[in-house]
Amino acid sequence: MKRFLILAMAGSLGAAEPKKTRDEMVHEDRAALAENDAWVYNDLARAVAEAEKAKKPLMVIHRCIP
Amino acid sequence: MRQFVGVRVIQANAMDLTLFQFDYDMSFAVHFLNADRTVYARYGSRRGNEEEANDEMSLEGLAETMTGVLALHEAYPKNKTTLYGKQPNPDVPYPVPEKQPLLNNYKSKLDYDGKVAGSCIHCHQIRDTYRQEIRESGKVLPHKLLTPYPLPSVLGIEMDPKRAAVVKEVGPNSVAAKAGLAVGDVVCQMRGQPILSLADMQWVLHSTAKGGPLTLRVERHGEEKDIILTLADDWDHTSDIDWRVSTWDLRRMGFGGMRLVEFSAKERQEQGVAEGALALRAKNVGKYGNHAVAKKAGMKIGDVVTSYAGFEEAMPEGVLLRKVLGKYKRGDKVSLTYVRDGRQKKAEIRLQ
Repeated sequence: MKRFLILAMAGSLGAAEPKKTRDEMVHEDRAALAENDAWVYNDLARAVAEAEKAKKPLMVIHRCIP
Repeated sequence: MRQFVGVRVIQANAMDLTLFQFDYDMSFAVHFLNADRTVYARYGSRRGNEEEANDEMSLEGLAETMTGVLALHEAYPKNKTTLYGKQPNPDVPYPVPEKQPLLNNYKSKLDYDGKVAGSCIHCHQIRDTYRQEIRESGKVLPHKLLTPYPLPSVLGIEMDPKRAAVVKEVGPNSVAAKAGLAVGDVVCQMRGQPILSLADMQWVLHSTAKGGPLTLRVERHGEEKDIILTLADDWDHTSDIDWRVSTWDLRRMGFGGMRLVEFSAKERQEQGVAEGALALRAKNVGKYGNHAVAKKAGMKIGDVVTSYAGFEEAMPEGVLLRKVLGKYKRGDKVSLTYVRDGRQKKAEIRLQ
């Protein structure tokens, strides 16, 4: 989770982007997060249900697609 | 971190605007919520590049905010009344961005089978298009739409990016200095709301419409004390909007696409511009479409605007922009005078 936070914040800080199309980067972004079981990717309803069940607070990151 | 359920939201399409109310110009924003939708805290950065973003956020600061959120979650719901002021306003013009007429060509879901990036509504478009809709209806823009989410720096307060809510600097002779705020003070509450981040402070300031007292509860040397700031009626009029993505479109509306920068003291002296007189140099003049209105009126990069729409007193670009768009409607013509090569000239711009 910490690794994702570093990456998400770095992305927001304008880290150098590889020479790929924006569409390619969006697909890669989704694929990378799909492998990460510490995060829910773009499914707020699922995250709310998990938070309710686990009695944990939600951390909702609004971060644009690449 | 495993004590949270983390979710990454990548688009504003289908964003519940009755819940997610924050500074839509931010490039990285976080909401900490209870599963029942109660907002614990907001967090984020307004900056778009690495150097500046580090001025406002850090992993250490975020970690401290998260620790504070866990404490609020642990105490919930007994502390629910103290969180009341942090809750979003349910009365919004549109429940989701794509219901806004200027965004209704977007769908609620991204088009992963097609041009996925182009199918995304960006957060800043929420306020951009709402402003545009108001202008197109022939009205002036309301103050809060022109001065959203002021940073505490407008009151002379700079926060430490490596902490959740610790004062790093207090501007000399500022509102904060006059009230007795000190470097190192931990801001625990503003107007009774628990403060866990710079974004939490922006939220309080955004909902502060008028001047008057604003109470900060701070911890200093282990003891809590109240600091009462006295805000003038125009306390947020100097709030910086230059950094905002959405200011680009305000320049189209109010300046015909020009970006203006204030003369430095040195430039004033060199050019013989009196102290207190308006002097804004055209740093950029839009070239295309609706952003080329000033260009078509004859303006060029380097021209120095000395009066605009009747305003002649010295002020930064953002302040002039707000005065113009808060006074004049779309279609109104405004006159300006400018200096080029030492000669004074006149022009006229039709506002959008």
